[in-house]
Amino acid sequence: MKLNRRKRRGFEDTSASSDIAFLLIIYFIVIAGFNVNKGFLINLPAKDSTRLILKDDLLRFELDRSGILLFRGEAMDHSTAEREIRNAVASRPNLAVILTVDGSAPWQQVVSFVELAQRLEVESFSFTMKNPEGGST
Amino acid sequence: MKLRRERKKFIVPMNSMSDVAFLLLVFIMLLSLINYRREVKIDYPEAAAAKRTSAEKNLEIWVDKAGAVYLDGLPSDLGAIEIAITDIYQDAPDTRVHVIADRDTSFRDVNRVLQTLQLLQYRVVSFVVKDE
Repeated sequence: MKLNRRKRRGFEDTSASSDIAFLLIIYFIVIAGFNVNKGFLINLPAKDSTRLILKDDLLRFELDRSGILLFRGEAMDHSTAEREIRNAVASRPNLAVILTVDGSAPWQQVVSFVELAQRLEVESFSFTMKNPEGGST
Repeated sequence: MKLRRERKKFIVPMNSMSDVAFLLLVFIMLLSLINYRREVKIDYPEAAAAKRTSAEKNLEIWVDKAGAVYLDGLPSDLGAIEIAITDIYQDAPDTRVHVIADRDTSFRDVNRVLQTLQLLQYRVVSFVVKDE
């Protein structure tokens, strides 16, 4: 009986599949790179949640309608605010930083302050919108 | 005398297969790039210390300069976003919501989106920025 031996394939037959594999890898790398977003991860508090904080542990900042940062009613730049928060955290570990934002303030200024709070590792940080009447939401 | 003609063997040129595959891939890549992600033209806010916030499943809420809201690149409103988030949360609770707002958008408009998320008890969100 004559057995049919299977012929071994030559190198030239498999060269195309390696090309395809290579191109597929490039394709997946390229599409995986598109959906990357960078930013800040925030835990929003529950609606109407309340937390008791000592008055002395509060550090209040405000952002006015043009995005100027205010502290105790006076304009302050971010580096001074950073110094202020650093000093406050050093003396009061339970410090809570609150930012009251005017509704018309540009988003960039809010993001910059969020970045500052995250960089300084302020454990308790919140921001609220100022009502037109002067209160907060 | 009858001469036997030698038949030519039919050969498929395998070398050109890689070219065909390559062209097909280029074609598929271009097609998928066209429809891959709908982006709203906004000016991203900038921050130096931004971290990578992408999860496997993302839901992108865009807020443009005028305060118009888009869901995954398509014009939408807060009601539709509420429904979409409820549906997505039921299917995949680990979906992360990315808030992408223009740097000049009023905080009021972003706050409306945040309030909707809070109302739905969807608490982990990321504020998307561009590296400075």
